[in-house]
Amino acid sequence: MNEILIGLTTVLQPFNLVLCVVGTMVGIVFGALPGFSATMAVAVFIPFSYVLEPSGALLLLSGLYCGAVYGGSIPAILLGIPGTPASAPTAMEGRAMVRKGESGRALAVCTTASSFGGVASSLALLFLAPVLTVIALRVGPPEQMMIAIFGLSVVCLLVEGNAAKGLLVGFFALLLATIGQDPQVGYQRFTFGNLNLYAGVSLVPILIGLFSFPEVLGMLESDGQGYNEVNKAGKLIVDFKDYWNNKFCLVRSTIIGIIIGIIPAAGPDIAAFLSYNQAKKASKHPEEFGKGTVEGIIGSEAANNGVTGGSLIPLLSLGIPGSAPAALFLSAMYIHGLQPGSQLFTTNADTAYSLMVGFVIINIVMFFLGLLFCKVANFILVIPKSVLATLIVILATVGAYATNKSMFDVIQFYIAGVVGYIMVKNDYPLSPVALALLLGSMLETSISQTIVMYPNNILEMFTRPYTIVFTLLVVVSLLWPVVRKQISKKGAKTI
Amino acid sequence: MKLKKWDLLVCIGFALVLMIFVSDLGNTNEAARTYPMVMIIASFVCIAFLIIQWIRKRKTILEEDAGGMEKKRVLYIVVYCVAVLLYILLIDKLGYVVSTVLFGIYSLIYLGNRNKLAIIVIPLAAAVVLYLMFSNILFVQLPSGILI
Repeated sequence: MNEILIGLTTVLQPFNLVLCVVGTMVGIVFGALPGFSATMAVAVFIPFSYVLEPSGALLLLSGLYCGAVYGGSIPAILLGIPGTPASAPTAMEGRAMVRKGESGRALAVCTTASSFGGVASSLALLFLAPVLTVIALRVGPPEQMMIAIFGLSVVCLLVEGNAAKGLLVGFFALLLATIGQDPQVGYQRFTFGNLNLYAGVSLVPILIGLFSFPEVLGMLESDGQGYNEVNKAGKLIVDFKDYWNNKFCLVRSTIIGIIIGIIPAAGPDIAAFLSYNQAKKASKHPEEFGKGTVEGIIGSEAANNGVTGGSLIPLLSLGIPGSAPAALFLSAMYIHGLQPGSQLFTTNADTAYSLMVGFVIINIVMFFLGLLFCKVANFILVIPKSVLATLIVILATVGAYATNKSMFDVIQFYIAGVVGYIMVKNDYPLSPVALALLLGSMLETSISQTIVMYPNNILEMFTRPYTIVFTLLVVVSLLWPVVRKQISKKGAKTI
Repeated sequence: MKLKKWDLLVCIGFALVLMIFVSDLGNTNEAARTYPMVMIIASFVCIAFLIIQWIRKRKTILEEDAGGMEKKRVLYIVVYCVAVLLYILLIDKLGYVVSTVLFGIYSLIYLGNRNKLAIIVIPLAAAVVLYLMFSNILFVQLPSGILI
């Protein structure tokens, strides 16, 4: 308790509070820019943190991390361009809500769910780190394999009436993820002699293309008289009923985010998709997903910000980063002479606890800054559609280029955009593409490592308790919709 | 199973792309081939299933999905896609600012905007602001082309 109070005192110093606010604001801007990510935001500002005290430096980077993860959702909702890959599910629901004239409601729900997820994960970091560290230690290749299979099976089979299309898209995207270097032995695959493909396909430009270009082409489908049409910029109101009616979704999504955050190499992107799909599975109205439902945004946003605190749990206690930005945190800690592990909580207790308490405060500050940012950004919707479509193409193009400063990425963005539009018009789902590209490498690596661990009998992996837990999750997740359908059929017959 | 009239063509398109991957499998080291091969086979199984379903239900599908976009509208979209492609290809040659201004003017006119001031000012402002922001603040150098 003493350490928490010391941490609070440190965070509440005026200069540190300013760092929290500035870090969060800059993080939101970085996240909102397509092609930029939380990882980039933290990386760019690490050198700026050299001149600061360790507590101040970590608070600045924490603000950037949390702000950037949330910030990607703002263009996702308003323009259909996910600012970060983690905002792709939000783009699907958010744009549909904008078309219904509910942009303000979508932004308010997104901001509140993100802050809730962030605050809850910060409290988990503060109070549950020792317990949750045990999970991090026990997660190995078999568990990572089952998590990847869980995520992909849910998203591919969840497509309403189109499981075969979902599976085709999933397998095809997993094949695309094999382009480049084989993760085990480093051999080149499917590069066709093109140097640009040696590192594989670029995820961010492809996601920008998949989710923003179909939006633009969709605007062209109207009868041509709509060039001066505008969307209705709905009022930005935080309605408690939206969260009370979806309280289970909010809590479940936050827990998913925290647990995914603890697992190394699984970041906010994976958490957002997994949680969105779980929200759809558990929803009483799954048919409304994709047509603008608050539940979808809550599912995605609570999880992606839930990862932020969770990813620091294995980092602070074991030195194992739970996500890419957490890995950069580790380098910042070393620069400031901090060693992760039990020592951090004794010798450098004031820094460790100021970071953990600071995380809670940053996520609360993010709520207010986010609403302010959204109030200003919402006016984008009163721009005529002709201007909006043009600006989306220009912004998405520069965003695709900015990721790796490569024109080849812009070509990938274009191809993904055109193919994405054809897919949307023919009811092929887009979310399996995103998740398969994210999880593809992890799935292949974990399968190979599991085979090496159990060369004689791979079924021995089911002696590991967490493998059994994740396998059961896959089975329950796949069977639950069938069971629920049978129960409701029986209920209808009885009536 | 919800199928659309163009699903047959889409499946054939997927199959053609898969054949390109199959043709390159021979250049891949044997140790690195198994996993992609499994994905290719699984994809072909899904394609075969979809094609068989489409053929079985083709009468119903063609009746239910009889409408669709007018050819004029399809051409309108295709021309815009070609324009975007030209924009992307010209960025390296002409530079980000010049190509963005040209594309912006074309796009606004093509999409029916008639405000002459907006047609000039918006693309120019967007191109210059983005170029300066990315180059000077975010340290991402955009192609300068013929301007600098």
